[in-house]
Amino acid sequence: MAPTGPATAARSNGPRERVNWLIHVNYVQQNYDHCLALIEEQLKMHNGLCEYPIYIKALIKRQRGEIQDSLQLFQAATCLNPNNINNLKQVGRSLYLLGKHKAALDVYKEAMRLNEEDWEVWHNQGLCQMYLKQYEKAIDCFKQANAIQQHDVTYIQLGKVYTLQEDFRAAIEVYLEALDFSPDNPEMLTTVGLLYLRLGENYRAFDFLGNSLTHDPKNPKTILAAGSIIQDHSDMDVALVKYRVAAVATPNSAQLWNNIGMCFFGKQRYVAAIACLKRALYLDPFEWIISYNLGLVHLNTGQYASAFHFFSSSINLKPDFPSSYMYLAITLSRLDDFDNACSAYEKAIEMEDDHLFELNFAITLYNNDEVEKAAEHFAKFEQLYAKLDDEAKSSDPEVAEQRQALAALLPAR
Amino acid sequence: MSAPIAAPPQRSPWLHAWRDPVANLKAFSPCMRLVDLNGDGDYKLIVADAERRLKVYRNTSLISENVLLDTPVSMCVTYTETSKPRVPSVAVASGPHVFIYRRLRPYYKFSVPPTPLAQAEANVWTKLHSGAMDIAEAVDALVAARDGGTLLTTRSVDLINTEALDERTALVDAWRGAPLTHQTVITCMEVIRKNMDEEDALSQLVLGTEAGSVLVLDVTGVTIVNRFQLPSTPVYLAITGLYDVEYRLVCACRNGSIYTIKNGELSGTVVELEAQPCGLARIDKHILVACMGAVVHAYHIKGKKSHSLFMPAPVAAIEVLSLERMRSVKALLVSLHNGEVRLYVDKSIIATIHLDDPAVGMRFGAYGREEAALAMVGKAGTLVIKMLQRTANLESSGAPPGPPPEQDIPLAIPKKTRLYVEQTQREREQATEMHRIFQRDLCKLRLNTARAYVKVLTDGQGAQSYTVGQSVRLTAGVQGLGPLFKLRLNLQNLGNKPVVDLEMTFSANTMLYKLHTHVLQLPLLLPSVTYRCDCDVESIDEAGASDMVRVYVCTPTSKVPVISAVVTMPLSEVIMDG
Repeated sequence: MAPTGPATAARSNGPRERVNWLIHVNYVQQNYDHCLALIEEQLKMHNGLCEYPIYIKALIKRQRGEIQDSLQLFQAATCLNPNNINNLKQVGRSLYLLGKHKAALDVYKEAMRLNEEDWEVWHNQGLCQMYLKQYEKAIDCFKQANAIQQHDVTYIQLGKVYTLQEDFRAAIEVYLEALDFSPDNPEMLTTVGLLYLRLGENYRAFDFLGNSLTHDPKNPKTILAAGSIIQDHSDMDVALVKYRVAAVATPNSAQLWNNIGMCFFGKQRYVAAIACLKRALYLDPFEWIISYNLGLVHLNTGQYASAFHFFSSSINLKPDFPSSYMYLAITLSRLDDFDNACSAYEKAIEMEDDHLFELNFAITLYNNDEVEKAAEHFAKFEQLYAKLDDEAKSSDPEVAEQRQALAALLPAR
Repeated sequence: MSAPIAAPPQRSPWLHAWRDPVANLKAFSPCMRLVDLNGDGDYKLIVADAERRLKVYRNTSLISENVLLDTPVSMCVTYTETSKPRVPSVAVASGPHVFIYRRLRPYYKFSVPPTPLAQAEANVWTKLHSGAMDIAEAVDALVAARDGGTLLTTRSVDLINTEALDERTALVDAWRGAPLTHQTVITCMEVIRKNMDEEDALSQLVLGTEAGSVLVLDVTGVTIVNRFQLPSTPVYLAITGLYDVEYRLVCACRNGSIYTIKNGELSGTVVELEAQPCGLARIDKHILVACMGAVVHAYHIKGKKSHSLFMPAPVAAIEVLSLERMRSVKALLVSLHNGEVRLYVDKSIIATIHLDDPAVGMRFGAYGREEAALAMVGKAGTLVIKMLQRTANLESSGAPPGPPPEQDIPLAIPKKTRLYVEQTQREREQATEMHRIFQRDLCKLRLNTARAYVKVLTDGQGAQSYTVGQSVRLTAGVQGLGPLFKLRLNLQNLGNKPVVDLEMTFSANTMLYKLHTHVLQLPLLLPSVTYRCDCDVESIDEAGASDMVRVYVCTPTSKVPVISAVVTMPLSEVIMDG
């Protein structure tokens, strides 16, 4: 190639940055193919010595997943202009995406020498520290970034660090502060809702989830969380209507079909419930709760042989859930397998003291003429029952009914 | 059956006026304007097409088309005189120039002056050309200047990045005599009114350049009256106020920051965005900026964030709808890449237009005799014009938007057959029996499995043997096409102690095969070493029939073989006589 090329080209076509604006417009309009064609033309015309086209090419490459290529291009752009902090920031970002967090941190340190007051540099350092599991340092970085300028993403990541540390209260505080700053970010509303749900504060969780749904009514994650709370309050029809929206977005979600199945169970439409739960089980055969729910439905419909299978597979998948053993025991007692039923009850009671376990055990024992032992377990039930508060006592009238019946039948001790 | 409760159908405030699917326009919002070109109250649409054409539309037809000298970056309309009728000038920016047209005829050209050079760099080049400095020294000086923070001209960048000396010399020679300049280009252009807030008042051009400066020209567009330097290249400008009274220039830059210039000074409030801006607008006290992450942020003019509007698809263009009727209405139009054009008042969505071709350029204003029209240019070149109904209610109801339409799609619940239901009935009646039979059969199955497994382990027919106290593994294969075959046997001791005194024997149908070895004395088998032994087998059957050869590994102490293998011999090639 003739070395006189650049000089004549520069004179005949105006300055080298002539089409940068066009590259930029095409980039922000996401016309990536056209943009790349323009860039290639420029690179060819100027022997690859143009910073901005290289920079945009690297951004597009990265967007398309060619991170290694993008890193090399950003490094080339940095060589052309080492004083441009944007190039350095992107080198760091590509390194971060490649999982080279330590190298990325070094690059960000370099970038800090050019500009200390750049929130993005601090934010990205925080991300690297988070992946290096240096949570305290990450928190510092994110706070520093927020002190320079507040951003939704920084808050989200800061909350995530607290969540990783299982400090849910602190995480919620961060998100609430963020919501003050950016009141209707649906992603943040959902996250706060889920955190409250995790802490067991269902009413507050529902507030946030509902708020999130008014802004983004189609987010399947929010719908599922909100739907499960609605379901807990036995408002099955409302929950089902909500799930319809999610079913369009994620028709292959096992959790969704599990919840739909349990809605139908709540409405006592057992065939539909079983159909939905079986679809859920087909979609995720190793999810124990689906098997557990299928067991419950079959137990209710009197299909004890099937219920036994579902409970036992649920126990195989999650051996540390005591209620499964109790329901297995009930199933076994209905199948006239008294010995195994007793051992299942004992296993459940050994794992957790629950008044229901004792009550059901007492009933089974009484039905099999073990009056003595039945009375023993009934007494234990009475002890546990006495400790419950009124709300828990009145939540299930059937418990009180059975209690009275048994009390009448068993000899007083 | 009860009918679903549906919200009353929302009447669209837009009336469809005209659509030309084959307009073949290529323009973004900065290159479209709605303007009263002749000062007669008949508004026209001018589009500076990227194919270097200046097109004027009136009502439903293209009335004129002029050739442009270069690809247009932006186009503005200015009023440079106070005479009546009010005829505007059209300013088209391309490259480093602004071409000003009057009555669609070229009238004047303004060129952006070159960026002043850094003194250090200029010195280097003067010395280089005069021979006071050799090339290597010049390169070092330029690199030092660059690392010191000087923005170099492309000429210096080329020199630094050329490696070979002869190429460098050639570059220097090629540039000898040409003055060293740093020509910049225009990246965006807007207008600011001089002293009256009326549509046809005197106005001045404001230019943003690649070198990061913002230039304000005087009314005639001849001289620069003010110049500001930004840290990055401005890409979008939003202007409010009057130049002689009070004004603000909001500039969105390529580094993802928004800077504000207030009354001649660059203000300290900077908004740093999370993603690159792809559109900028001003409504009253709010800066609205569309970002690449499918979101429109609203910032207060002081830099504090007010709210964000989250979009279902990336934003293609934004535009302000501003109307002075009974009361003034200001709303935001957002065009998305999925073909929607949404109308927002504050935070609530009022109406949505669905287009086949997503609008990448949008202008709202007067068109023809209609005072509220929306002109849109699609990605594929479609031109669409919609009109806002005069009775349209643009008040935001404040109520949350209704449920999404997906809510009316019933769930696809899997169906169950009658057979299934019958079977459940059977299960209900005979659950105990079914369970017992199942448990019994399961026990039987387990027992059978266990028995079979023990048998395999003890009679030496599995691939591994445990009988000699150690596990031995035998694998066998056949090589050859016949009549001569070779049996290849691999023996491996998988335990951790050596095994001695093993023998290997072979048995086959003597009518078909002749074995060259019958017994092999095996050596001491060391743990985890693989031993290979071969045995030649000859097929003696004339038709080449095949059979099996059995291999046994035995110890002198047991009548059951330690391990055995059955090798199925392939059909043998037949030897042709003669």
